[in-house]
Amino acid sequence: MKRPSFNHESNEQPSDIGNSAFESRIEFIKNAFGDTGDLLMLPILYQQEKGILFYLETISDSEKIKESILVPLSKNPELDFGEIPYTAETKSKIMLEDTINALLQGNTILIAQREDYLFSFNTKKDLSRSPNEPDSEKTVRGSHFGFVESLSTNIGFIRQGIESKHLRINYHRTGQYTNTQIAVIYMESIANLTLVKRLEKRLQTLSTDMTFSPGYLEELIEDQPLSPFPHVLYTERPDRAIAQLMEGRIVVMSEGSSDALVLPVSFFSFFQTTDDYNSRILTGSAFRLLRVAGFVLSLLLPAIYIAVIGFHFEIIPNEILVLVKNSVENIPFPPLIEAMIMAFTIELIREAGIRLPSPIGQTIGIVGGLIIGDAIVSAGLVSNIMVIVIALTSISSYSIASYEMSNTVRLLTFPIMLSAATFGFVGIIFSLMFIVGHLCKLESLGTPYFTPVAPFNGQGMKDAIIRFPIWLLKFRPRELLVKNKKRLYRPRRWEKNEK
Amino acid sequence: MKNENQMTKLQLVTFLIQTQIGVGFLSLPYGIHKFAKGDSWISLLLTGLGMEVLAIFYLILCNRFPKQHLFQILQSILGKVLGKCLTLFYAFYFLLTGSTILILFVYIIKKWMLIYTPYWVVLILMCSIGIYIAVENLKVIARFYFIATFVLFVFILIVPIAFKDGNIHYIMPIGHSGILNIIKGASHATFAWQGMEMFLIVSPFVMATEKERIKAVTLSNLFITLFYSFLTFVCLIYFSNDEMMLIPEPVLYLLKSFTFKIIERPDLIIISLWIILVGTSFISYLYGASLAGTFLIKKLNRKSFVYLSAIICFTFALFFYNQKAIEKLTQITTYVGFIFLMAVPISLLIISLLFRKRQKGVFNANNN
Repeated sequence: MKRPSFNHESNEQPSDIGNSAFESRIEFIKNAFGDTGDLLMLPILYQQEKGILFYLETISDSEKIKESILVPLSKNPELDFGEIPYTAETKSKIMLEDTINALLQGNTILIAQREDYLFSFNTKKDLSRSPNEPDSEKTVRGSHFGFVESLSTNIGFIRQGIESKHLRINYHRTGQYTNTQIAVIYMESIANLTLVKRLEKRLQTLSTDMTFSPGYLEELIEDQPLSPFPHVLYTERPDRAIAQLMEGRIVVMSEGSSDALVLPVSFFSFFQTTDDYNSRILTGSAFRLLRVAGFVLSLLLPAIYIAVIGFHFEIIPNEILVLVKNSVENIPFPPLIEAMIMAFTIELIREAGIRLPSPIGQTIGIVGGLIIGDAIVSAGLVSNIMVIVIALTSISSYSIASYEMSNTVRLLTFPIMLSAATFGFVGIIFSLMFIVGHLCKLESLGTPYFTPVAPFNGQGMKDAIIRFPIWLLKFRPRELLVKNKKRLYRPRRWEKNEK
Repeated sequence: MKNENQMTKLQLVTFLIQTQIGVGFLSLPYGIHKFAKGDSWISLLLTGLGMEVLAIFYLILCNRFPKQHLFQILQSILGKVLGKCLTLFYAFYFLLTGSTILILFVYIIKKWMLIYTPYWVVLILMCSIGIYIAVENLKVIARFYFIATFVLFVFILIVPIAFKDGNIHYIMPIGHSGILNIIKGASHATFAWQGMEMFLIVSPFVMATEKERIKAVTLSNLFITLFYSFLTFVCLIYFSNDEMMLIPEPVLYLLKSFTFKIIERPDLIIISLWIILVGTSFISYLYGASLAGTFLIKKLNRKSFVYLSAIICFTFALFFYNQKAIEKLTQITTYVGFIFLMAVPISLLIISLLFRKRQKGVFNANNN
């Protein structure tokens, strides 16, 4: 009795009629996927007949492959490849050109040497561990699921979203002890490959004993780690990661983390949310504008107030002057100290509440917000208006879509307040010049950070401060130097037909 | 890898605008009014025309040496020794202009905003931002200037409010002060265009064809000319002849007289924005001086020359604080400016045309 062998050896038998076709089929699939890392080939030898199994390991279940293909093969050694009773409903005969799609859907393809047909088996992986909506990126509309802690599951989510052969996944391993798997994901036909190469070079030259979190990774690969501004975008949302991939950016994910790092990004990426694109044009634009305004407000409001009170009283019109004077008159501290007390208190409340379970967190909110806020004014330590100013500042800083960016803003507020207290408006302008100058200097993976503004790019401005209608966003971001610049061709062609 | 120093056409336009519009324009109407009275705005248009001719000379010169900046051109035309000498003079000229900018800046800031702040503290602020941006390559500087250009639009939008209270009779009849006075005013106004020589320094780094360059330079010159004459025009119809004699910073006095519902004194905000314009001019001169420095002493990198130039400007500026000295210094800078803005480049062009000198070989401008 012949036993099927599953050795990985090849070419011991001379070739026969189907051999060249066999080879070319293999080549076809290999070429279609390029060198993506998750395409697996499993050569099998059965009754002196060569066969090969193709599957994408990230979305195919190896258990299913074993049960529905390999086990039936070993049980029926006398029959031909095509006649073996595999688990019936899973098998189907398909044409060569359909193999790519089948593979992308998680199927396993069997190519046999002497068969005209190719066989496709449904071995789609069950992506278990129900994904929750990420807490830091909630949306009102759109999908409500987020990445989980398994790398292959996460990549599976992305593969599900982009059913394209152009999606490439390159695996790297970093950390001498942890040997963490890191995946660099990009669209072969869109992304700028020099950027991919640059990123991979950075990843390959890392030498640490562990890379346990994306923050660790971010700090090691980013251009200017000492800058207060984030230049890597975190996202826990597969739809957002997919949208970034389709813009030509690169996504880096690591095993055991539910965050995807997106790079290179520009300053304005941190103000975009998924909701912008899911809501109507006008509201989407208005809310993004609101967020940018929130950024400016939280950066400057306390500083302007301090400068006005301390230096430029004459700028306030008479009607408001009385109000301000009444409020400020009996306060023992200079405005800077007042602002520092309030801002410091709010930061403390935030820091205290952030890691506590939500019932206690609410208590902190009440104690901090109501009791301290009220008492500090009636005790006469801080003026009414200062409480309003600082509260408004912190609310606007939280309105910024990205957690990292809102932290940055709250950090930057302090030096600006300080310079406003020393030099008035002059100080504010100088600190703004430093900040803008810094933004102009920054680069994310070698592409300009402050991009649609400087260097100026009219096309890019359409998706920066306000969101233009989707049919006008015809081009991918220019600074990425993508291969395939145009992303929409005639998005509203039906209009012409209906006329 | 592409050259780190490239800038686009648009960036060239904003670079020139930002370099030229700087410390002087707040008092520009006052300065010209001394000569041309109600026709000052015509003087400025005339100067703009003259500067356009100069710009064309610059362009011809640069087209003969497409890949070289001013100092390399100097060396190519005049030989090593003389070229280096002139480069040194240019460095001194840039430092002098930089110091003058600092001095005038602090003078106005102390007069209008920070009356009690010590002189040197404000100087340090300006020098530090100058260093922070001038050490970067031209690409970053150009990006910064582009953003700074939005400040000018604030001026353009806010100043027309004065039309409401303006009196057109102040400038009537047009041409009443006589052609001679208008021309005198025009020649006096050239100091406001100082900084155009920077084109000779950045021209090899611009990614543009000859035609596009002409367009860019002309556009920037047009913008500056219209901006100056517009401001002057508004000041002239807002203030009477006698008032203009008394107010050295007419643009600020103009703004001071406006009030809005929520801002009582818009001039304070406008001066703050004007700081940005001063900063950009100062950065340009630091860049020019440091580039000259690296060209002279190749061993040191440009960064150290930026620090050195800033320190020199700072120390120089410390010694000028009374009004008389400042006026004298401004005059000297203007006259020296004539030499380096017009005389040297034009004679360079003539020499290169006479002796048929063109760029030879690959002597490219690629140091940052």
